[in-house]
Amino acid sequence: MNAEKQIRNEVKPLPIYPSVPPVLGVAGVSGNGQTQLMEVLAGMRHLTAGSINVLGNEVRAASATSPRRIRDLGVGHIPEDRHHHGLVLNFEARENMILGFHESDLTGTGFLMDQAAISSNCQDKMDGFDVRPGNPKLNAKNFSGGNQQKIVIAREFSANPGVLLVGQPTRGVDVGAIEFIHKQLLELRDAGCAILLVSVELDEIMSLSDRIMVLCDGQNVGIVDAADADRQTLGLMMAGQRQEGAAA
Amino acid sequence: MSAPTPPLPRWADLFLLPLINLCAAFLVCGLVVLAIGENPIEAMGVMIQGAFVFPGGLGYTLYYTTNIIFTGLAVATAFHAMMFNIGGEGQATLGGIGAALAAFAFAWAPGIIALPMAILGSALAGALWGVVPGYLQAKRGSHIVITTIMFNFIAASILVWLLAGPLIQAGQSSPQTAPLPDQTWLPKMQDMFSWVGIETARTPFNASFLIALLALFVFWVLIWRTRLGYEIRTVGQNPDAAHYAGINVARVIIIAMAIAGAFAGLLATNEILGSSHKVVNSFTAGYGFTGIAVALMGRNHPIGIFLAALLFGALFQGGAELDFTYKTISREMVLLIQGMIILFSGALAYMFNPPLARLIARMAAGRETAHG
Repeated sequence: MNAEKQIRNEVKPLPIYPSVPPVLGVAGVSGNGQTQLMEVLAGMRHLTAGSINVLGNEVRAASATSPRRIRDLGVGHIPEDRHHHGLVLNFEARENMILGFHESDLTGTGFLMDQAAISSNCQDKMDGFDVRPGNPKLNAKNFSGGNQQKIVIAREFSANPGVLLVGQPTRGVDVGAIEFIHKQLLELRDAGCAILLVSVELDEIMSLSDRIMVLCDGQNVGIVDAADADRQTLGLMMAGQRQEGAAA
Repeated sequence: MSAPTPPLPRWADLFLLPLINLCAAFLVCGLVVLAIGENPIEAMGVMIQGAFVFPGGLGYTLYYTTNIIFTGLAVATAFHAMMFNIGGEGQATLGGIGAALAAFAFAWAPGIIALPMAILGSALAGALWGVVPGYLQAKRGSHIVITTIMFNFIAASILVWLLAGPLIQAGQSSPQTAPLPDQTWLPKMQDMFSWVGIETARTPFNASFLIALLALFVFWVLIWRTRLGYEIRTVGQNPDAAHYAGINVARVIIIAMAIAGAFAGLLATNEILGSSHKVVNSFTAGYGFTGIAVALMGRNHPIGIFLAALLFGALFQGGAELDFTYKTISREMVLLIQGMIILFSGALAYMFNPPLARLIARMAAGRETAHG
């Protein structure tokens, strides 16, 4: 697929099949097209060519795509930058817990948004994902980085997505929360959700992924099985060197 | 670098800080009054009496307040989407034209149809004047501040053209319309009071005040209770997150500007349907700009906007009284007071924040030690 040309980054046509296997890790030096790839898949950036197949629904370059349409097809998205995209820092936690879902039944079915439902929805998810402090009325900016991330994760995981796009899930997150987030990701995979994981942490990619795709200069250098991957091979691929036997 | 300021408690942020800002503004004005040789306390007394106590004073105060509530809401609605709407003046002008055109068009109809149509006409025409800059901002990237200012001038020109040409009253030469059909007149408050047997002074204060109160309530529901309000606030606080969340940012900006324009347009219900019953040149008299100060001071919240509008309404009326009573104090002095209030509660709004926050934090700490 092609993302619109942005400075020098361009995602070249690449086949990815996140539905098989369950976790596809995307490795690469930061700035080699990961952000563009995620944004195109999430509908935040227009496709200029090709198409995306989402759980049997085809999204073509010509068709008007939007984050809402992609979300309605069952795609969850944990954005790379939670302060920029994932959260509204000046909103209360409970308002952030419905970001992207404010027209779903989480906010009730009446003409006005059901405040009690919004609060209890947030409280449930905060309890379930151990967000501290568990106060739905606290502004998002007053949570620690890890707990902010847990708010985003609680929101996206609870929607039971069929495909989940995960960007930098543990950036700026404390050690305890990292472990918790990894565990949750694997639980979601076991429940049958296909996951596309973008991270600058190579260890994270290697430990969570089933297969690893390497991007360099917006191009798919190759996809390797996580079991066969080692740091050196991946490092060479990140520098643009194609590997024998790696599927392109 | 100084030590970080402790956050201000909510009550202090909402009530104490604006009060201190207000007192500072009055203090400076008092010094000016002193400098020109009058007694500031006495002058203050005259203003308060003129605005609230003298017969008709309160009526005029609330009449001005009504106008300012509408324009304050126009600024605040746009501000929740982080659009700085300077176009209240032009949107209100169009509202007047819309109200008059609807009133003349429904001259044949009974009041029960004609009056709602005239009110609707004011809101729709105002909305139109908000939508165009909103569209230019959302789709073309033309800055809303520039376009709304320019639209004030375009609206003023359209009004002059209409009043000097197509809408001028037959057989006279002053640029104003014929009186609107009287079934489109909103009842005066003194008439409504006299229906229940209470006699009050005759003022232009009329039923549109109730429309203004309703508008404040509608604004609150819209911004904090509807999904559209949620979208408006999300776009205002973080447009990138709004895009991520699947909100159509351009659409929300256009809708927010339409609603803002509609609020400003409703000013015509007070000025034209409620009071003068005809459209005259520059009837908006700067209320659109006062609305900016009011929205700023009222923190874009309906209660704050109401209180700030009341304050400015009282200043308008009390200032006229001041002008009337003192030879040495002119209307310009009232402008000075308004300017000071805008300066202290707008531009310098947070000047007293750090010292006040430190003081409150120290007092709280002191109380804890006393108890511990």
